[in-house]
Amino acid sequence: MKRRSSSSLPTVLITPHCLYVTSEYKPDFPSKLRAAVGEMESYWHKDKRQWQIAPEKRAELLAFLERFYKIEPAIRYDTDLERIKDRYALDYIGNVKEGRNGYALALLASSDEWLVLFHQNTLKGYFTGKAAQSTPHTEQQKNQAQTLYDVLLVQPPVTDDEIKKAYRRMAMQWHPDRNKEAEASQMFMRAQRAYDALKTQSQRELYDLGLSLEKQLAPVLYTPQPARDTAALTGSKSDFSLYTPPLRCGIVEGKFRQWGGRIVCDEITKFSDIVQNGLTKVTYFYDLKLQVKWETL
Amino acid sequence: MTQQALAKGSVLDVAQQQNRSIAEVTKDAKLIVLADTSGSMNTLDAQIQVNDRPQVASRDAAARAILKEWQQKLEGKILLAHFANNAQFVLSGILPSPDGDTYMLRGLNLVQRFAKLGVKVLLISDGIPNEDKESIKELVRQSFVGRLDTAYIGQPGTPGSEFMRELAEIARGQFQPDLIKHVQQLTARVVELIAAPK
Repeated sequence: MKRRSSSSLPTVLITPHCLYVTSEYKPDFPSKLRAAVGEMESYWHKDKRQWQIAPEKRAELLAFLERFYKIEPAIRYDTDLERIKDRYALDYIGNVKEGRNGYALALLASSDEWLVLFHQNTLKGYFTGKAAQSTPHTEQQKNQAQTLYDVLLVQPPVTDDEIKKAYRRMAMQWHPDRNKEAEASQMFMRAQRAYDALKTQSQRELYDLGLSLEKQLAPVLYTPQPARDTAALTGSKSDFSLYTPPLRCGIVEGKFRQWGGRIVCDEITKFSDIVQNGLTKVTYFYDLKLQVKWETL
Repeated sequence: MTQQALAKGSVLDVAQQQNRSIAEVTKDAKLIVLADTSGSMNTLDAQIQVNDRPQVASRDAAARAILKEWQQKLEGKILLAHFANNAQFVLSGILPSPDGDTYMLRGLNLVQRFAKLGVKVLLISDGIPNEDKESIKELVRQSFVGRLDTAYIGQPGTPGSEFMRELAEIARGQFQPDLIKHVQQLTARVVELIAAPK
């Protein structure tokens, strides 16, 4: 195979969690690269002028580069270059979408980098306290994956004031007067329904009795569906329910890891509002633009 | 969800129809009907209407017909429970076939948490428990005052009927001496109980 001058040689720096690619610009390179290694697995870092690829795509990447440039790429090895934090401020966590194998993309705060990935189970595991073990097959099963406490993001026992504050937080995010996203009405009505059912102590006690009844009788009531494999990032397409996170922006603390040019959150340990001068940040998409509001809770 | 027969208007039926959880529907129930399903409920001394004609039937069949009507009429407002050897809630709204002994105390223990939160209870039985009657009366005194009505099903003037009357008296509730004969009266009472605030 012919060797060109080193300046035009595609180079690949291999680290345990990322493959960094530097190569001569060609207009059809991005689309062909993405076709070769995958859309989610490839990330163009515009500041560093390099492609960052998921490590498990090494074979496909090297084969592609050789085919495309008709020359073997230069390869170097190193340890991980990026420092992954345990805390990120996010401006917007998107919905889990079909094209992403069960993952939602999130936008880093005050940037235009859609860098962070959450699997729906990671989101559900935090926001509902129960990761989906199997795919619910009916609307009723989907509803019953959450309790009304989960809808308001509270853990019992709670006071009337705590319920009210939790409701206001959800209303701030999803009120359809402000938030024009497709899910806004539905999310708002769910929060409203949860608040109406839980706003007093006696109502909560009755609801809790109902929950214990449900739990006791669950083996009789429901035939569990066989557990499906949760979607691997690069696995084959598998079944999952599309999920809207109940809050769009906040400071997420948890376990993160590098995956190519992206950061995957494997576990959320804490989700806090972004607050400045006593105002809470609320975001939603309208007219394909991110809208940012600062509201009083 | 497993396929099982559901009474129209039962908690499970309403939960499915309205796409709500059982806990939510249960929370809105205003009345618990606690029904005796012991073996004596097989006794053929009641009647039901078949093509508008009265027909001899078991106490159980008569109770089922009445419960079916109530649940249909008062969708989601009635939470059904039963007792025989054991006590259990019946979210499907369809009582199990009568069999076993009459452990009324177990039934009342099952529902007392709801009663303490203001849910009314209607006890339907032929009134002959296997447990100590004084213990049952004491439980009613402790947990069911203002919350319990009783309805007797069986031959009039029996010790069972008298016991059911005593329980209603302790609870300061109403006693219906003949469930089958006065079903309309009892139905009106059920509607009243459901409409009353907790």
